[in-house]
Amino acid sequence: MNDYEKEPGREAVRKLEALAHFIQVFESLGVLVLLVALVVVASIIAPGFSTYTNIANTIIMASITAATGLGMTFAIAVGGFDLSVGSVQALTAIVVASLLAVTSVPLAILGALLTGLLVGLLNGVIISKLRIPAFVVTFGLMSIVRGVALLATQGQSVMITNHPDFATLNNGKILAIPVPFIIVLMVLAALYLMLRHTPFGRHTCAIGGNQAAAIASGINVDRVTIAVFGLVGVTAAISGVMLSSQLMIVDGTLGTGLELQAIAISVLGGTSLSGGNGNLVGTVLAALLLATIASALNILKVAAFYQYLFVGVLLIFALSIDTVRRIILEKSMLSRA
Amino acid sequence: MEPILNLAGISKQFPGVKALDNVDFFLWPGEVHALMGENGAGKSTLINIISGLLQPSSGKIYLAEREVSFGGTSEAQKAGISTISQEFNLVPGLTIAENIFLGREPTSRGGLLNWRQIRQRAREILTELGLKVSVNQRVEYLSVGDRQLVEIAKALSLEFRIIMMDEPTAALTATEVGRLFEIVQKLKRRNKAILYVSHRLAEVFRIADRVTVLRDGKRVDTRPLAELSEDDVVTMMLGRALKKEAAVDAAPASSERPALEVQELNVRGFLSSISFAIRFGEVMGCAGLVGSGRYELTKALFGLLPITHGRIEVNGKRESLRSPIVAMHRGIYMLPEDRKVEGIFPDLTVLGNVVISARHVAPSTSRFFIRASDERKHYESMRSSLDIRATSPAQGITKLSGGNQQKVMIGRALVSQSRILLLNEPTRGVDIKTKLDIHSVIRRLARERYAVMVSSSDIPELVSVSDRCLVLSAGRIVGLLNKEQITEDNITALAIGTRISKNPNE
Repeated sequence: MNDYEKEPGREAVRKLEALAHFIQVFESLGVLVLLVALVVVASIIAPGFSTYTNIANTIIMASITAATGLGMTFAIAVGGFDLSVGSVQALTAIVVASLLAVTSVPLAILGALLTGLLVGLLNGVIISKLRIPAFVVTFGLMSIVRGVALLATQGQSVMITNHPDFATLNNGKILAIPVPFIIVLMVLAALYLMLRHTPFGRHTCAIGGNQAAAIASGINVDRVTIAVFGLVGVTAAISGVMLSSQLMIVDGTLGTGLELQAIAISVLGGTSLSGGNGNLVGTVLAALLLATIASALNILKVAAFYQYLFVGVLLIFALSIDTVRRIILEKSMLSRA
Repeated sequence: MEPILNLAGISKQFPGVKALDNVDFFLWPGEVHALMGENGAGKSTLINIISGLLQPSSGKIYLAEREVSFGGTSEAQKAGISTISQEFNLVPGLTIAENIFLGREPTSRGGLLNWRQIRQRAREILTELGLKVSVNQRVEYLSVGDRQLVEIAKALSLEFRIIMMDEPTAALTATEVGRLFEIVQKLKRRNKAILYVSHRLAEVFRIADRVTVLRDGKRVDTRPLAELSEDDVVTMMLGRALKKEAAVDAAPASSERPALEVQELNVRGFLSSISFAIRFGEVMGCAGLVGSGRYELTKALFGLLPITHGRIEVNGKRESLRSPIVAMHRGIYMLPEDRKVEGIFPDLTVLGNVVISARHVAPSTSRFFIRASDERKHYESMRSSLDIRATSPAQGITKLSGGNQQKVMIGRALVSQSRILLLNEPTRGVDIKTKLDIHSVIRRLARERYAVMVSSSDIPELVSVSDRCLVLSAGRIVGLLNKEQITEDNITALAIGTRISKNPNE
């Protein structure tokens, strides 16, 4: 009868937990390690990679995706995601370009940010008040906003001519650091503060981790959800402003695929798609990683198509690592119970 | 005639517990056989052994006089044993017909589904059961009662010989119960053997032919119900005669203004005409079987279930508790029944889990930023007063033992600064030491003038912590016991529906 009392030794449980912990550390540091390794390899095998101009351009490219990715990480933490960010990037780029024709730079940027906020709040209101899944709502808004952007411009391009200084938002440097990256670091700091040091951030993780418990704990689930999607809209608008200052000529077709890139860098950066937490630093690192891959392959004259293969393999690898960690944790919990 | 099922000397040993001890059991075709016993008497273990979920440690199972041993539920099903449990094995998105024939759909030549035959045969079975819905109806739109009938239809289509029903009426309305009983009679006429597990005496007397009573893993007796009175069955279950001294209503002990007063509360489908009051400084127990509406009562008082009718007063003021947020502002907090499902935030730290409900009412915390020092103070006071064993406030909540997680949940309720606490299953799944700790915390809260309601399936727990105790059955209050009337016997008797005389001398 003592068969039942034979448990796997404490030692085995501790080993499993240590393994799970190791994988977790690897997950958060993995992107950084990979990034450093890649930069080193690229500098050696791709002459021209380690020039200041190339590195600055790589960082600028990463920054435009990273801004939206940071918002996306929040949306994933609350247990959803936002597919409309690419369309919002296009619309806000058009808004800022059009406003620059009639008003000053700060007002034009403000107009773009408000537009992004509005679309995001609309996403949030529909999701929380009508109880429609985020996938459906943001997919619908992705199409609607794209349509609005194309209709507003009648399919034409909008050029920014009377504000040449607007381009410094893209190519300006402060202490040799590209301005877009400084913007991303500011967004990162603000969002990190929100996620870790405000009730809003903790409630976001609580809702994403266990919605039923969040309701029973008196958290205003609707309000937090709406705010999160409003925030995502603003970050997409920041990307829109950055993109328009880079291109100085914008149209309604910009930003297609941004939503999937943003989700990809969140996941690569260590944010679990099951919600409940977000790794903002990881998101920025993953954006840099993808931009580095693109830049290196470009210099090596590898066809851009290979980038798709590379990113796909990385994504599946990152996701399977998370699954393995969860399985190990469950196993250790079972043998402890 | 021979028994369809014969269990000979079945024992089941769990680590530290003998759940079944040498149980003999016969089930005849064409009989409705009730299985009764208190919680922990071994009913579930016995059903799980018959349905193939568990294997006996010793003993033999004979099916139609042939020895069998089931390696799993599918083997038992193949042998003709069906279990209608409370968790239905139906696919909500499929139609009734599709569910009945799931996994063994008749096909026409060429391997395509023979829809005509599927619908035709499903229709025949439903007609036989008297279920008047279209076989093309999707299961997700059906009531609980109708879903149960679909399960039975599935069992019939499989030509099962033995049908086990585990608390089948727990979630049914009175009409649905009546319909179910008619169907049980039909099954009986078709010579099926029905094993009926229930806590409800009245039902068992209405539907069953014989009863087997288990107590502490042993079979007490198997008798025809016609020879027995309700009192006899209760005596068999408890192992002693029931002391008939409980009054159904207790006089209000004090004229003090109640903390929470409920009048004629109704929640559609769960509760009707609930009226009671809790005062500050007392612990009100709440007992009731599965499906009695115990949990729904606390949910309604915490704004998680809409009230169809009735009046709730908090501190003498009428309130409409539309949501937990409103309830918390009025000073009410509820501990959910299942901490894993509705309590724990797996991604937050121990500290995060303790303070999650704090800032709605605590003016000291800022609206925009978390004040780490305040939170730390809240956490430390809970850690020391509840003796929460965590290595650090930043430890992941899932790394704690069940008992410590439960203490975190209680800490969360206290940090919310609500004075009216509705505690559901406060000690479910915790070790004995933690259980005693939590009981002393509950008593301490009463001394500190909290109003506490403890809703629990653990009757000894209610006896040891309650000042008064409500007993619910089928969504109604069937008893309100005073301190001296709170005994395990009285609570059990009221909950299973024995009529207790109001007059102790009767």
